[in-house]
Amino acid sequence: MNDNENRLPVTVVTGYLGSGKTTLINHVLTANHGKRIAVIENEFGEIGIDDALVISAEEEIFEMNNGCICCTVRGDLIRILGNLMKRKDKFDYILVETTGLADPAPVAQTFLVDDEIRSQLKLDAIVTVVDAKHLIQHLDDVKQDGVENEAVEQLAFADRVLLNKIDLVTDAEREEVVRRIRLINANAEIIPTTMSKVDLDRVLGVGAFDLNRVLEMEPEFLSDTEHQHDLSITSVGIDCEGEVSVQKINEWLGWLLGERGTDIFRMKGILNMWGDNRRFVFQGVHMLFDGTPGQPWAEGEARRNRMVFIGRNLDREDLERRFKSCLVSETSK
Amino acid sequence: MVASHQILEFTEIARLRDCIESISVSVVDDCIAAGSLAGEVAVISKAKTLTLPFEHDFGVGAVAWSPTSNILATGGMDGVIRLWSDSEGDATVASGKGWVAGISWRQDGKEIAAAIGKQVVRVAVGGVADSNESARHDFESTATCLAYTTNGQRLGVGSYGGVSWFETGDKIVRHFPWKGAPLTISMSPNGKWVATGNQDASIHCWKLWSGDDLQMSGYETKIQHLDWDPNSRYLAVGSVADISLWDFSGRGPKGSKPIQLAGHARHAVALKYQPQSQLIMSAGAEGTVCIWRPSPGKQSLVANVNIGEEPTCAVWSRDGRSVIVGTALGGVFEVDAHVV
Repeated sequence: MNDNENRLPVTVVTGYLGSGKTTLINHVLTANHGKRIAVIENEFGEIGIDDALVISAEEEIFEMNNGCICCTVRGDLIRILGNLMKRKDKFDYILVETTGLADPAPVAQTFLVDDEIRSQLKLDAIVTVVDAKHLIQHLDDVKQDGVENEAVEQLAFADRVLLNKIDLVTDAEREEVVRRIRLINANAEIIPTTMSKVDLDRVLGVGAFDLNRVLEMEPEFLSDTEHQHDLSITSVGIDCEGEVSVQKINEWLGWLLGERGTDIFRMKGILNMWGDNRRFVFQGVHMLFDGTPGQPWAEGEARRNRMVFIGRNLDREDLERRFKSCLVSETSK
Repeated sequence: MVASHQILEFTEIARLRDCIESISVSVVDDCIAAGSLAGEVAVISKAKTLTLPFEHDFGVGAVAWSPTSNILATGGMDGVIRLWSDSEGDATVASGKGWVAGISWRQDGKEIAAAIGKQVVRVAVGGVADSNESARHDFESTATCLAYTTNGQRLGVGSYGGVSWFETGDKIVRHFPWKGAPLTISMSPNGKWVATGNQDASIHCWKLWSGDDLQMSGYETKIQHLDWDPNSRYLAVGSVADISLWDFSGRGPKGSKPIQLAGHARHAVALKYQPQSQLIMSAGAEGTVCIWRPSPGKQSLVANVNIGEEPTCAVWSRDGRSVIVGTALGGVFEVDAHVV
């Protein structure tokens, strides 16, 4: 991926209806940060801010089949962002607000697939706003077969979760809602807020899709042994020693993305490749994969392979077993 | 051996407030119209440069001169289509919800079609003040590109899912289905083929009468520029760095290798055959305008120049002696393309 850092960061704001997305965007627009911000939202809002541009978009999803990779992108965003990039009027940040019922995947994939957008913009982070009082109810909504629970999906894709309306819940309720979020997404940072008021540094310029920052991944969840087998969307973390065979990992990841790409929402990780003293960092959204050798391992640092998969019907034992089969055995070195 | 080619001269002829989104040259007097993302339209003639008395909010999407008269059609991000002429002034002739992605004139100059958001709107053109909407059709997805057949009998409109055909009226008379998102459309002058350049880095071609189709994929980027040579033999495709020419003679391009023209460092922003000739003009985002005379086995690059700004669109003048280039910084340049 093109990592020249002149690229403009784009933050995607998702969240169920009534969670506080628009309040967050208003907060970003009115906070005194001196930045010029463009917002692409789904309906004409009442936001009229001198130094910002607000454009309304109507979600238009394109399916793209390119060889063995198929994915969906937002055609409307490609057009609007392409047009915005051509203007003399330059911005410091772009915010994209999705509808309450949107699947975040096409938005994320738009930034990874379209070459024009990729060369000028970078997906910074997916921020999911949730209503602390009603989240569990939304997560437990029983949907018809084949219909996604958007609230679960939006959490699964998140890099940051704004646990909003925190003033409306008791400590016990808050603990429970955090536990439920963690079951789906063990990796996202959870930020409690009221009225979506958040320190903007925590949601803008986060670099969650920046391969150089995959290293900052917090591995704390890996010790969490709690399992809930009836939950279809979960996080699986793998943390193990050993050196990875380039050929075997390529074969496995190729297979995994081809066979399970639709079920794997997000993945990222750091690998210790055999014969390379640099960390190999990767991340992916569904079938789209991006990986590159990063910084060298430090002297004396434990070279651990760490990765997290977030998706549907993930089998922890199977993923772990298949990953371990990619390790170079002592005898074959 | 160092290949030699001519270096072209160029001059700046106008400067607008923002990126030039569209340029058109009139049949009458070689007048140039340029529309910018700041919303203004400039009409540049040998005698003067005129800024039209109206603007399109949030930017111009398309400008197009009538092929038979001195009427200019303009459309913008405000969803409005206007007609203008020096003698008659201007009038709004249609509007809709969404941005204007393209305007196309029928060859007889008596009708325009415009893609506005998810609609295609057609206007019967008498004069500026004597034009009326004649048909409107709603698509499920944004109408991204449109073109009349060479004989003017049908209008083809590209939107996600293929190309739809209209005769007079608002009913689709035929649909060429294909699960993809076209970005640009081009009819072969002999009326046999229609080609689209697509978001998924492919081109898709249909035989106009049978609907038989073929696809060429594997380009490095989405395809936004296509043009047929005046003899309808070659389809030129602009991608990153290379321009490829597919040979549609004989058994067609299937399984064949295209002629490659390499001379740009970045993606194509314009690609057009000179009227009635085999010369091709291309402009790349890196700033270069190239003139090519494709000849297999020989050097095809005849002339080029770097204009020092990022071009965003370019067209030939009517007489084919110069190329008019619009840039991201609002510049309009005339490149003397008279090659020896």
